[in-house]
Amino acid sequence: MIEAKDLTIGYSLSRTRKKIVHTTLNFKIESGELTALLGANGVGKSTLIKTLSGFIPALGGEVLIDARRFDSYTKLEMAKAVGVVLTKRPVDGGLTIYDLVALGRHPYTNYFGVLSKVDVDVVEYAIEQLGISHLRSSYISQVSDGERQKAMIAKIIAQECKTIILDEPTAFLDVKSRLETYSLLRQVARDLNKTVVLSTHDLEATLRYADRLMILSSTHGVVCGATEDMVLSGDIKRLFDERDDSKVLFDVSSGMFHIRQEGSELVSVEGSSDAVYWLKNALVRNGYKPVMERSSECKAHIEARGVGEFVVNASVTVGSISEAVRFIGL
Amino acid sequence: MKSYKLYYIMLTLLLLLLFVLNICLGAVNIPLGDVLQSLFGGGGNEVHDVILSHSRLPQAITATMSGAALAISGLMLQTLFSNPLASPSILGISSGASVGVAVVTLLLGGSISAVGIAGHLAVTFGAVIGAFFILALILLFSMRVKNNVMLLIVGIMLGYVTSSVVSLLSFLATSEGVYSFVMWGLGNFSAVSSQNLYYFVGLISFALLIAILLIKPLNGLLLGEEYCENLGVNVKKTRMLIIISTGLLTSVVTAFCGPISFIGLATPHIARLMLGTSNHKHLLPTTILIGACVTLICNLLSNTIGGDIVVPINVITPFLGAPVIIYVIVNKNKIPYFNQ
Repeated sequence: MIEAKDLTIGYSLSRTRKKIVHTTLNFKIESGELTALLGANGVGKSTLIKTLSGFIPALGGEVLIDARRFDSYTKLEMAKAVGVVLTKRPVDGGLTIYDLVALGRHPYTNYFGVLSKVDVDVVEYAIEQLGISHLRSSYISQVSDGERQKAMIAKIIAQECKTIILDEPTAFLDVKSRLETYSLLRQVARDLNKTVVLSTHDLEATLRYADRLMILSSTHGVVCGATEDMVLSGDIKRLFDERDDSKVLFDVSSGMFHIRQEGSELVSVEGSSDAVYWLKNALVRNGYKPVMERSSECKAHIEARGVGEFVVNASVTVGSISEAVRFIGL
Repeated sequence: MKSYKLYYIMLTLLLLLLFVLNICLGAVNIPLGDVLQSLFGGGGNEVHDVILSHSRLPQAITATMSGAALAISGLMLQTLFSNPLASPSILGISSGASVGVAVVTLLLGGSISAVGIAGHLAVTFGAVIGAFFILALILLFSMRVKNNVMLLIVGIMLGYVTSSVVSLLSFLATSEGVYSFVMWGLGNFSAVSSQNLYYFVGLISFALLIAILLIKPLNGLLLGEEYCENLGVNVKKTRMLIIISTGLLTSVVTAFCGPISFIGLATPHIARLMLGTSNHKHLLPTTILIGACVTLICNLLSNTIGGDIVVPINVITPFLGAPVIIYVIVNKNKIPYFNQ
């Protein structure tokens, strides 16, 4: 568990000058859950991640890791308690994946870093858990971004840290590896009862896999809550600055943000849920505002009867969404 | 794991063979039988006895230790700066040592070969001060200049500045001093007399020991500083120890043998290519062995290819070192450790 009490984060520029990014942050990150830290660019996500990882000191307040003050940990205890995965790659690609995961045992091995029987077992377990056994003798520089990210997570598992902090772990990954990584982290948090917190911009995957959201904004500091509650309560809108509020709309039913378009015309829709979902998507992109109720204010009405059958204004039948949208634009 | 053992055995045998060849071959070739008799039994050929105990043996030991020292300095610097082209000579550390030596020899009017143990101490001291001064500067710049290539350029610039200082000192010095300094600059493993040998071997062994104790944190550094810190490694302390060890190794070798080029740069690459890993657990001992072997080869060539004339070491090292570096750079995309 990570707990922050009146935490001030920022950078010390010199002995006397400080750049304060946030003050009085209070939050709790529980174990056994996957927590996602969201926030617009430049709002201080990285600063918060670095502070929680111990790379930069807190400028005020305190951080408790498993109910113990952060600064009371020695370097070695810290290494055993908190594992960090950064966006940076390892600087040298000449280690094998096995060597990389085995480096996770660093805090436990003797002066020369010799792996004991227990260490080897733990490394094997971590490699097994992440399903990267087939990569054990590949070099870091030869595997894909997704595979390398898995190996970094395996290294943290081998490090046996109760708390795992990841800075944008899926930034360079394709869709498949992204979803795999999230589901893996969720599984790690749940099955091994670890505290897993990651910063991300990937809202779609976050809403699907994160148990809790932590939204950092310049105006409200940190707002925390269970994912679905944050969506329904509208707290998720804090992702954007106040002045942007008017432009960005959050659609609770789809879990997506849209850019508001001025003077949009209403189009009523009905039909099977899958088709309606994507029909609405196309309408919003083309500057219409889809509604479910038919009224006199609507410019047009589209009924989705099935795949490849859309009826516009109860009269014209077209074969695709794009044709339907083009038709009402005429 | 077993394949590594094979490398160790082969390299050790090669090292022994080269060591023996270095003792036997030269301007005067001494048969192996005479060598053994002279070393263990005594009472053989008196001339051979003198050559062995005053020249060949100290020279072979000096070459072995210097090779190990320079190679390991190169390896540690490459890991510390996460830059495969870092080495004592490229980063200007050898030039720093040269300035120290130049100040002592040229300004104080001494000649390196003529002065006794006190003079050698003074020269070593000068080299240590010069080397550490440049190392400190490089370290300072490395905190500001994150780009590896830029850091190398800073090192090269520092090298230019030091050589201009050396030029000034040469201009002011006596011709005898300049001659002795130029001779020193060509590289030579015969300058360590049998009396100084203990002191030379002692200092190098001490610094090598520090390097061997750094195997674990050096591996941590392969991931980058922040990851290394997250493994519980005290990065500041590790960096300090690497600096002390490389500074000591480079400056002691440079003080006695001159600024030897390419051994520090090329040997870690030969070791990595051979083992196929950046893991220091095997890379570090292998680099020590290969460094010693390569340097013994250079010394052997220097003593034999010119007939009666001894060819300076720094004439030979680039012919062995430069092709390795060119090979590595040309094949950069195929070599795992070269890419992230």
